Amino acid sequence: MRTRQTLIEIFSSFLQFEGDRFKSWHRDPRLQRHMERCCQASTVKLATDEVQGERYWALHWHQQWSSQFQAGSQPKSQNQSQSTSLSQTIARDHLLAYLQETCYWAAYKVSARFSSTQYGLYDCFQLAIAQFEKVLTGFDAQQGFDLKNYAGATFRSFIRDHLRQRREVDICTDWSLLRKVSQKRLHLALQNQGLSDREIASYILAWQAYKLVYVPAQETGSRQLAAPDLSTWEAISAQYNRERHCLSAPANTLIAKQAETWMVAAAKAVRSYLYPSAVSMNATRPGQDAGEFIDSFTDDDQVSPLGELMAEEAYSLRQQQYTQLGDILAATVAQLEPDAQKLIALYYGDTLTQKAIADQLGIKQYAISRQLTRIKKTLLLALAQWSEKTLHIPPASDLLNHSGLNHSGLNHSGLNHSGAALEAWLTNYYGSKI
Amino acid sequence: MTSTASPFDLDIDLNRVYLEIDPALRAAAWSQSQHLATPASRWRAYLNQISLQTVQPWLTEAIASRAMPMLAMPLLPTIWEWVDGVGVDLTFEKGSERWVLLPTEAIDEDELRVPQEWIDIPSWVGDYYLQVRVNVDDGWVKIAGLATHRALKINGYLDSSDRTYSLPASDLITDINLISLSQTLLPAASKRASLAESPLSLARSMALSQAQQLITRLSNPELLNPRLAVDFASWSALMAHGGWRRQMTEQRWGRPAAFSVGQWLQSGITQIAAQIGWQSVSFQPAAEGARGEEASMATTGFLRTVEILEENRIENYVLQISLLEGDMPNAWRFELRKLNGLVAQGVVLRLLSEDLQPFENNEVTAREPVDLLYVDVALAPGEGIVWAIEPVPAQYEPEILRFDPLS
Repeated sequence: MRTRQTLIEIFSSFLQFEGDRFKSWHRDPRLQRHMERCCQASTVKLATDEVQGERYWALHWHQQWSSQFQAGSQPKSQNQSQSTSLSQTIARDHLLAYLQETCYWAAYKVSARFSSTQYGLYDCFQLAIAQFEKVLTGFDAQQGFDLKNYAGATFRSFIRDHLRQRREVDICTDWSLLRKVSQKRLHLALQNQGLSDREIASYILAWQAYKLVYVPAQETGSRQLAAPDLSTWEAISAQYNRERHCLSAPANTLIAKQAETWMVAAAKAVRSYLYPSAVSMNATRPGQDAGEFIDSFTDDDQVSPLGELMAEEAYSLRQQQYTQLGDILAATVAQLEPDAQKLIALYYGDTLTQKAIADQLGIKQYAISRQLTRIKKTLLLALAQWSEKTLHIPPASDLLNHSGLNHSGLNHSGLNHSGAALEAWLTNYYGSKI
Repeated sequence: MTSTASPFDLDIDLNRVYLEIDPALRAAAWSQSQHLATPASRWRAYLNQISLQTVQPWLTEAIASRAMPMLAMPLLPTIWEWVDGVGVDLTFEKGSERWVLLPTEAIDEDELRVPQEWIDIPSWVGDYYLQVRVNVDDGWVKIAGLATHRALKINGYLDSSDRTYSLPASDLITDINLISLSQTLLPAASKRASLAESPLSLARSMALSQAQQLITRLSNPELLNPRLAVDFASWSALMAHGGWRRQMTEQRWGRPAAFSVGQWLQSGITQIAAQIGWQSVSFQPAAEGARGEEASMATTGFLRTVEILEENRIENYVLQISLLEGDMPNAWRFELRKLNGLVAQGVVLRLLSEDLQPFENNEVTAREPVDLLYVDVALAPGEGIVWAIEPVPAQYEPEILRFDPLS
């Protein structure tokens, strides 16, 4: 793959595939123009530095993107909120362009290790890039980690999770799949089929009856359930009829045949909703069909000198923090037991899989991952203490968010994403390239 | 071939916990689940037991100094017959917590669903709720995410149609490292939302006759989903009261009552009672009353040890019941002493009627460290007695002992 050369290119072009291979960088003229204007207008020296500029702009756009959420609770006039959302959209798109390469390498790394005829590099790329918003939401610039590293670790984790799930779903018969779907997912799948709320409620009640009646009768083999027989369908519909008075809207009596039809449809809906054949997510990127946006730019969308000044200060502070944090973590690593040091060096440095390390050391992969987890915990503790002391972020702030004391829709700040961020730092520290 | 592929061809993210299911343990869980009443409850017990026995060792290895299921193992099926989940009580250097394990087979892991019982029955409430993905076919268990009681109660959605609280995956804590860290870093943050009622007041609201009626109706094994067949207040009163729940479970399984002391006297202690620690004992009458011939008469009684937490130290106590010789037929003494040392100041031994009502002279408190505490009680035929101790012992729940007169 040809790497992108200029800052303008890095923040305004998108990957084009040919089959499973890199074809070219497609420039988005709107983003390109915007990026050019911002670079020209910028008084920050860093902003035009080819090496440092990349990080600067990444943080800048992320800040721009997230600023709306921080101010989200304040009342705004219609007009203002519209312009904020426009600048937010642009910031988002610049970052989407920026992370193309990271996503490509994440997809490359995972797909190379995962032998599947179904999932190639391209599919993995699509899977990951579809989760791009979650990367932005999860990333916390305050912690001083690098967006690219964070995104890489997160993309890899998304792809792996998806492939694992997908493989399980593929093994399951429809009858097993129905027992292995969450109610939430089933609900979404039925909604996706265009069913009304009332119909969905009936289907779900029938599905609950199905799960209650049609149960594996053996210790294993829960993925290979055969079609239920007639008497089972009768028991399912009887259970439904006993409980249908609980539905908020009156429902008709269900007969066995109909119960079967519903469950067949539900399984189909789940299968197609769970794992749709890859759609081109990259195609949703703006530019081609959003002509009105291109022309709606005004100079207001450019960074004002004052805003930039603050950004520069913030940037150098971040850089400082990042260096400090690296020192802390490196020092903590140096204090680990020799065995532990060897293990993480093996894992992060030589990019061996956990399975390969396990084979090499003659232990189970579970044990490897647990030892690695324990090491990471030590590092995380050092990190938490550091951030409490230096950044005055109480380590528990995010846990408290989750415990509902201070719940916000966004997972900003705190420790919750430190795990992935630390993973990113380690990957970088041990110099594994991809 | 996909069917032989393991999820571990791909690296495990280090902030996720996967645990291997021991095949022997799985086989045992399967055979032990077979006596439950319906296919669904058998499968439920199977998954819950695997989940518990696989996660529990990890909890002691990675999280806490001690991890114990909220009830003795042999009693857990009396929960799983009715509802999913099990509470595990963890002991830390400072304090203790309950974590509730909720097994799921859902591949998508989109949400954590928690039966209302675990959120709204005060004596069942946990600090954290863990979504435990169980894959019996590939032989692993994954801690997919967790949430506090507070998050579930306040932000969770209560679905009245199946009486569950749920939170989407995006609201769960997925990095397990953080949880173990939180034990060292979190200043006793409130993980629990407040609940209106206390356990005893819940159960007290139901009369004995009503309870008996419900037990008869709901224990019918034809009824596939009894937890939804009655209003939640009544249902939760039955579930929270260990004695009633055990009785209802025994009836559903078609088994005789296991906690009948009269029966124990005649034909020995039942297996389940023995498994949770009851044993018979022959002993000399108490020393001060022992004079002359009386001293040679051995009395039969029953005892079990209970663990009580004293200043974050676990102490063993012995609860003993013995038939009182004398004018009154069917009179019994309940006696509590410490295995080594004196009963600590403030310890209470209390007896309650079957529907958890106090009665005259039903309790005694150690005003200072004493040798033993005891309460005597005379019982009418068929009457049941619930014992209680403060501080609440480990793995305690109200247990009804029956003292049917000897024939």
